Amino acid sequence: MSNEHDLGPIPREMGGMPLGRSAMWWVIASEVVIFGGLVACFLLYKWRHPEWSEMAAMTSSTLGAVNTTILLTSSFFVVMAHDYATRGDRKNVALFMGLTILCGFGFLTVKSIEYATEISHGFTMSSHLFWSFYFCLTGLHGLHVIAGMIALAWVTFAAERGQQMHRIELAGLYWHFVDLVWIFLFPLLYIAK
Amino acid sequence: MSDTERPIKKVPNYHGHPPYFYIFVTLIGLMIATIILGFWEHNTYVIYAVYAIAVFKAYLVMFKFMHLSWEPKMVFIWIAGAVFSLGIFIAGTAVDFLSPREPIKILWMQPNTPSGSELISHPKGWDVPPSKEKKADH
Repeated sequence: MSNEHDLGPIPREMGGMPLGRSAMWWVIASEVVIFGGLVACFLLYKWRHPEWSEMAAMTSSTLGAVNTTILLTSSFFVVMAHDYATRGDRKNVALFMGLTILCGFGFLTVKSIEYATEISHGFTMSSHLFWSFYFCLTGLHGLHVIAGMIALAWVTFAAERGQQMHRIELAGLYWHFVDLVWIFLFPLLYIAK
Repeated sequence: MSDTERPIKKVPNYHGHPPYFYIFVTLIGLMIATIILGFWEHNTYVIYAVYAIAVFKAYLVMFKFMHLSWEPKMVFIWIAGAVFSLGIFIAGTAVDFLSPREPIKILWMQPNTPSGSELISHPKGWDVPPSKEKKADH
């Protein structure tokens, strides 16, 4: 396959950076609106209903802190993977990407334990508006974690074969955004009581 | 070599990297500070402090891990556009969220009045017509 065919008429840069990175920033910008809207609604409701603090006291700060640690660590792993990708070190790229995916599984496991505990205590999506927000925000975030893990696994398999190493950075950007959302959800849902 | 197979070193604008490990340690430290504040006391100032720490953590992740410090200005314009759209949404709905907590007064058609029918509101502001309320009592 010739270079001319590979590059084709599609512009390879947009906004002064590679096209893939630009596209990922667009995705992140749209996600900012989705999560920002939900968080803004939650904050406005909470402002008007101070009694929600009693509900927030029912969430497990310990498990929330464990999940925050897991996601921050995974963010560190994914930047390390990106760093090794710039050096062309496939073995370490696979190692750190694998660790990141493992952190994703860890996060989901802790979240499942939390959900099971809360539901067993009668806190479901329909029991109170606070819990509706809680399950909606954390559930949507959880879906993003799953999507991120699939994306990370996809680019890792390609990177192991030495193909499309630059996608490590793109998947990493998405994963950092998932971490970023949790950074705000943690104080909102677990700490500010 | 095709564009998709080229090493990332040759990607334009690549800038090296900040000290990731120290940033990670700082993030963990800030998270511990958040937990200590959360368990310590729950007043307005503590909550503001917790949110301020969250904003600083987000800054570190965005500008150091996501390399926003080295991205072209165009990225800031895209993000600003998203935040502006969000601002319109919040401005448009905040009035409904933050309106006074007085109960909504619903006006009811009251038959058999001198003028034939008049609009009245429940004396206590309830959303039940006074006539139906009396029937329910019996």
